[in-house]
Amino acid sequence: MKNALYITTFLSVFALASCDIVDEPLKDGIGGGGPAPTETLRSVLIEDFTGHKCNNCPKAADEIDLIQGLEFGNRVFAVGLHVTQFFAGPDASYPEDFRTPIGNEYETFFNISALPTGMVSRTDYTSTSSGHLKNYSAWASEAFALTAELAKFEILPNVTYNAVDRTISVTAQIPVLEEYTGNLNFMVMITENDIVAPQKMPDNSKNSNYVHKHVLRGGLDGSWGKVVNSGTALEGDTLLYSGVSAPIDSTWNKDNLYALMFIYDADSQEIWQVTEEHVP
Amino acid sequence: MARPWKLTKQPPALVKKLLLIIAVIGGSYSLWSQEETAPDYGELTGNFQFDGYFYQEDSAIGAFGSNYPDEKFLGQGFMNLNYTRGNFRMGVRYENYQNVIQGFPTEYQGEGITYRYAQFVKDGLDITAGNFYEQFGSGMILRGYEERGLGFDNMFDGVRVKYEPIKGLALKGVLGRQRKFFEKSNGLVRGLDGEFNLNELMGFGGNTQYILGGSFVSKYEAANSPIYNLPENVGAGAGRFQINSGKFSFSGEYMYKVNDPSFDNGYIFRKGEGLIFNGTYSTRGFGLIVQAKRIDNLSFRSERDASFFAVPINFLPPTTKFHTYALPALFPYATQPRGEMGFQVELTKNFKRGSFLGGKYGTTVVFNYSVASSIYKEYYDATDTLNLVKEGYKTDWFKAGDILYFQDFNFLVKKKLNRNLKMNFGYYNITYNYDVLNKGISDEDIVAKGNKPNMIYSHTFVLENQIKLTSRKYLRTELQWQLTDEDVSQEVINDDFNMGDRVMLLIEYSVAPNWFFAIQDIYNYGHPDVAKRLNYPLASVVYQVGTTRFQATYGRQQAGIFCVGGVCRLVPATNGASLTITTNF
Repeated sequence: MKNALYITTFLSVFALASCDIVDEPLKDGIGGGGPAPTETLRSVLIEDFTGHKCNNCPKAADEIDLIQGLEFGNRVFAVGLHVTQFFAGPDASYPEDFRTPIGNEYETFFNISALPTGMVSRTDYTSTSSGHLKNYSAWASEAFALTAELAKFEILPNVTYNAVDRTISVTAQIPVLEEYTGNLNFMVMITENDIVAPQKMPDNSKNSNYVHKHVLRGGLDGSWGKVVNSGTALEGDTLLYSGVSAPIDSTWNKDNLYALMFIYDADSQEIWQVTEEHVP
Repeated sequence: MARPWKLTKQPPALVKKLLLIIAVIGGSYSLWSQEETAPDYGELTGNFQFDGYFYQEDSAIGAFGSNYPDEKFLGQGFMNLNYTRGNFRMGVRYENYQNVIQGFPTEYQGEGITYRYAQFVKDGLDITAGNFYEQFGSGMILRGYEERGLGFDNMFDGVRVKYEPIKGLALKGVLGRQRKFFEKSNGLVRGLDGEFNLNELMGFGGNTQYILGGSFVSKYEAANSPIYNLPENVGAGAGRFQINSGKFSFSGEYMYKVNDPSFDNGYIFRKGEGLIFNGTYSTRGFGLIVQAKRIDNLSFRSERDASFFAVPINFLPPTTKFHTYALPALFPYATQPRGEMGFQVELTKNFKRGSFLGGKYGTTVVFNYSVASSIYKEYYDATDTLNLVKEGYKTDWFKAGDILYFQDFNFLVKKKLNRNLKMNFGYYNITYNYDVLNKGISDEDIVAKGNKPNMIYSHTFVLENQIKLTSRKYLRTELQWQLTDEDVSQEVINDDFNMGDRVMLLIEYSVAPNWFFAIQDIYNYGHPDVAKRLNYPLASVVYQVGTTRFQATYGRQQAGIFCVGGVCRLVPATNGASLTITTNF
């Protein structure tokens, strides 16, 4: 019986020592300004895999809004990739088709099987697992950690629009801030903001006036961009993205188009720097 | 049950080398017996399974486009090897998904050794290093297990110690990281469990057995949220009892969990609680089972952002009946960890041979009723941010919630009519909350919509006949008829194949002990969408020799959607041929 008492005491001590009781769940200063960084910090890209018939996907979109309203949120960029036939295919109730060849290719390559899900700068990517796919509740923590890192690259873009033939052109200089060895690609995506179209909502109802944000429309260099470095890029070097021009679709609202640009490792897939510019 | 490979004779050279390698890996435990006459090399047992599926495009059922795999043929399988000698045991499992077949979690991609362990038992001490499965109590606080058919496996990788310091007191301790498909969880799990058999420990009780148990489980996961002050150590405790007295058995378990904000609960810092009772009474020809449960915010995973099948620490036992007939099984129930009140009663009565209802061969009747609904929730005002995050809602243990999740009344009559004919007749009346169980919609969203969720009401009749044709030949038939009444939106009708009246016929012919042939067809003749009034024919052949079984199947299977905790996974429709091989040794 004495043994049982000892054991019960040990269990109680173990129990008390292994719990964190939180009285104040919310951190102070959410959305606050904070001092401007003196060094170039890393920006992150949230790739939100979504679909207009995915009833939980608006929650993920709301999470992006929340993150972009935080102190570091101006260095968090987003793109919504509508994927899977089941969740993003058009029908009579949801006539729009926001799927793209890039999204279709990513759906297979990144092993998308459930929505909503997303990648934060494609960290933790492996071809044989799904560690790179994060539930939206994890995006804030992931983005917070990555945006605290010093940037390895900076992106200085030049985005132009030719109204005559409705083409977008992008070039970019990419100063190397830290020596890097690896194959680097530069990708330009065209996204459209504020598209009003039906969306299935969390209560399973249809919102015909839902505002879709960051919708991927296409890319300038296919699904994987253009090679900008092979081997070692030294600190102080500047990589060049010579760019191409591409026409925009007549159904896209040019005033809401953005050029989303990022540099990533073509082997690990990790996105090292990202920026966005409104198409002028 | 396969006969283990008992090595009592000198093994072949190759096997001898293998056993030597196992012994060296396993440690210093002597593999070779000192007895010259009958050397004991231990036992090697194992099993193997392969599942392959060749897919055909079938646009009528939605098996096309991204629902039709590029590979056309997908295959997966596993092999377990277990070696035992004396108090020592070790084993490995190899798994391959090349690539994972449709409907399984696609996170299973690749191949490799997923399970390896060594176990040693001596002086009341049982130590396992490596992978292990474990359960504390009912599993409500901790359960590591696998369900191969679902693609579920949450085993631990670490150390487990079991010890019985005195008679009547059993202790367990676990420390490990859980399997997350082909990876491991970011979180650590620590757990202790003690079970006291009061009869043995204190020498009282007579014919009545009293067992008390207690568990504590804690998880650790680093946190880095810019929004929340997240707890990195989350603890949970549980207490349980069991009383066995003759024909009666009564057990219960209560669990309490501290604040554990997670993807599953919408990041609220609310405590979690659960209470479950089981009572049984059985006597000759009569059995009664009663279960009751209340769950409030009891999802418990070793990663706070995990969902679906990924790294649950606990298992919340369902208090509904699992149906094996195909049509009633189309409306399954899964415990809702965010909150649920459940109740089940099952009564089994055998009417004796020669009685009025028993007839010449006796009759068995099973009645079952189960119901699951939401718990009472009173939500805080949207402006009360602190309480919304800290508590989420107010509740009352003694008030029922307004949302019916599931209700099932069914009975089955089993009757042997003559020496060669057995008959089963069943009726199943199931009420199914489509929004909660199929779409994962939260109570809060349903209440916001006026508590008018999409509901499906079904009546299913089953008639099964088992006919003995000769001493080796059997014929089994099933006729199932399901009538449904859908109170659903047009969108649900457009989206979903799984509704409307249908009928099913199954014919099985077996020639013991080797052959088995079956054909079946489900005709969904009453789907509200005329284009979805389809036939789902399926044919299969099984050849069994010893402990080895080959099964080939060809036909259509329906699509469905499966939601847990706010994320949905499509289980696509398939048409094609499959091959399954299983064996053990």
